This record gives sequence, C-alpha cells and structure tokens, in this order.
Amino acid sequence: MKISHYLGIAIVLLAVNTAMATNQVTISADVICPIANSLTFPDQVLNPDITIPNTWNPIYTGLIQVGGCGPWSVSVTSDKDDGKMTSGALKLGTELQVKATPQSTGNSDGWIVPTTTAKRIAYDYGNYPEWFDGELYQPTAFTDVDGRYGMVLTFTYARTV
Amino acid sequence: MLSIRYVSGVIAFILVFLILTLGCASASIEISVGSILDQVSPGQHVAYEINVTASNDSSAKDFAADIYGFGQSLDGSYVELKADQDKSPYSARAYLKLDSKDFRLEPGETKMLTLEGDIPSDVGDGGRYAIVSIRPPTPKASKGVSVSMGIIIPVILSIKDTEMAKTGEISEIELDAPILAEQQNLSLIFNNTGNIHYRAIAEADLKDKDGNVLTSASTKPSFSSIIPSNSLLIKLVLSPEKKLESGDYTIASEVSTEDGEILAKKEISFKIE
Repeated sequence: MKISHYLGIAIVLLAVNTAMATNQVTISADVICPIANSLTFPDQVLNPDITIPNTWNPIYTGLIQVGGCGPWSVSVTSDKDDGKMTSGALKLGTELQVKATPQSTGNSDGWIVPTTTAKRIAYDYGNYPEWFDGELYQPTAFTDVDGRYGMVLTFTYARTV
Repeated sequence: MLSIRYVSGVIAFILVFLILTLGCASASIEISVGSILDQVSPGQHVAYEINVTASNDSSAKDFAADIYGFGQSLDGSYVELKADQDKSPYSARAYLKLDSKDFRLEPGETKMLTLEGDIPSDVGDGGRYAIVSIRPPTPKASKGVSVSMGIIIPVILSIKDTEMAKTGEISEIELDAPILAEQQNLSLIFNNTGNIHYRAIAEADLKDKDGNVLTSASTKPSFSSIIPSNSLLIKLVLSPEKKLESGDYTIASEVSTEDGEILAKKEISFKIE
C-alpha cells in the first residue's frame, strides 16, 4: 500500500468518527482524589463542539464519564432561564447521559416564555445509583445581537456530606 | 533500511491516533479541600486553608470565590444562597469570610484561600452551615454550547457541647394520579426541623381496611444529609403482589435517621373503585 492509501484510511476513519459523534458528545468530567478530601477536576470539554442550529428540536446526547472518590454530586445548570432538565441514571464509574434539546418555548414573535432554570443533579453514591435528569430543553430563540445561538452548561461539583 | 511502506504505515497510524484522540487531553484544577467539617466552640476563632492549583499544562484562568448560605433544593442538591436569601438561623455565612474572592491562576500556580471567622459567643446549639463556591466568572455564551465548571465546598461547623436535635416532619404526602390498582407511587416532602444535619431513610406500608400489610417499600439513606431548615422530596413505589381489589386502603409512611430513630410519620388513604 502506498502512503496515500493509509491517508485515505485515516480520512475515512475520521469521517466515521465524526459521523458517529454528530449527536454524541463527550463531556470530560472525571474526578479524582489525589489525597483524602481533595478533588481534582480536569477541564471540561465538549468533544465535538455542539452547534445549535436554527431548527426545531434537534437532540444532542452527551456523555459524562464519572468515577472515583464518591460520594459527590454534580448539578447541571444552563445560563438560560427557560430550560428544564428531566431524568436519566448515573452509577459510579458509568457514563452519564445528557441530552441538549434546543426547543422553542417562545411565541410566534420569538419571545421567550420563562419557565424554570435548567438544573438537575447527579449523585455518585458508590454502589447506589441515583436518577439523573439529563434532558435539557433549550429554546432556539436565544440569540445574541448577531443572531447567533449559544448557551453555557455549568457543571457544579460538591462532595456530599 | 526501513521500507517506504513501513514508514508510511507508521505515519498513517500516528495520524489516525492523533485524530481520534484530539481533544481528549485536558488540563486540570486541584482543590485541596473537598469539604470542611469541624467542631467549634462559642467565641472561637477558626481558620481553614483551601489551596487551588492549576496543572502545568493548563492555560491561565480567572476564578471567583465567595461564601454563601447553605441551601438545598428538593432533590437534595446544594444551593448557594446570597445574603438576602439566607434566612436560616443555622447559617454560618455571616461570620465567615474569605481573604480573596477574585484570583487568577497561571499554569502550575497554587492559590491559597483562607476561610476564617469568629464563632459568636451566643451562637446557640447544633450545627452551622455555609458554602464556599469557586467558579470562573459568569460565563458568557458564544455560538454553540460551551461548558463551565463550578466547585462547592460544604462547610459544616458543629457547636461543641451543645444539644444536637434531630427532628423532622413530613409536610406533604401524596399519591401520583391516577391512583392505580397495580402500583402506587408515593411522594413525601420531609423537612429537617432540627438543628443538625442527618441522612434520612423513608419506609411505607400499604394496608387494607383491616390493617393487613399488603406490601412495603423503603429507601436507602439519602445521598446527602438534609441541612436544617431544608426539605427533601422522597419517592417510594409500592407494588402489591396482586392487583388491588375495589376498596379502601391506607399507606403509612415514616422517616427515620440512619440510626433507626423515627423522626416523623404520616398516612394517606385512597380508594380503588
């Protein structure tokens, strides 16, 4: 095989990888405990980036890899006021699913009808899985002055007491 | 001499590896204290160090740290209460302070925050609670979805040699509608009316009109303690072996501590048509 063949394979693999990840994002959120009662958090990244399109109800599924040094909790909040979260499941060392679902709650003029702040919590409780609500409804009508869609998901960690 | 085929294969492998792992590498932040739990005396001066360290491979980051009242939502998650929201008599927020609220961490740098304060001489009984929050400045959305991270450090100070009152009440009890003959979904809202935190366990018995227990359900201890003046939503699913026949039924619920101390009881009756 020539090098072009290998490069061709690499490009195909990249395409497959990208295609598989289109609706599947990874949110890196490992927590480790270097010493007792201390916590280390890698920077969280969305991989790949999610772009919110100007369409109705596209669904993104994110995975948060959790593990180690429980019990701790993570709550997820949106910077927008009218998102909401529903539930999924989390167990120590397993993946946490988060769905970000841009969904208009505005009226025909595009105004937003405020509901509640998006917030749910997941618990790492050793062998005791807790329900995690990971479905985020995000209005498509949130745009900046340039018409760009955007939101920030904030993951807040705490060791439970 | 290496063949062109071997070299090209290695190059392609490296390319594939880099492509597939792109974005997986990440810098980290380390917090030296996950929680602060202490026993203190009235009039005592307290000081706690919190070291925040950025890894060498990170970029410079800005942080905002502050003290809040210790609130909880019904799902048990911790809520940062600002001064005007913090009405709890068991709050330690007002007499604790951080020596630094806004700081920047260069790669590899450690910032030591000091949380300190004076416990009032008339502080009273039980526990006192606060939250230290460390997070980047308020994130701004750009195009698409971005993520931000915050860290909450629970602060629990137990006042030495005082009465620790573990009390509580079930303020609400209800069954999900429609009420089914096959399964009953029970919701309780339990309030910690005491002056100290604890984990709660809930149990419920489904009884017929003669008081015979048809089935029972219980929870494991709550994932996190219930802080005084806060409430927890507890859900129980009762699944009788047989579909309930027409008649009157009662569900008797109780909430206890991990030690088995019963804190509250409440019943709800329903009818299957």
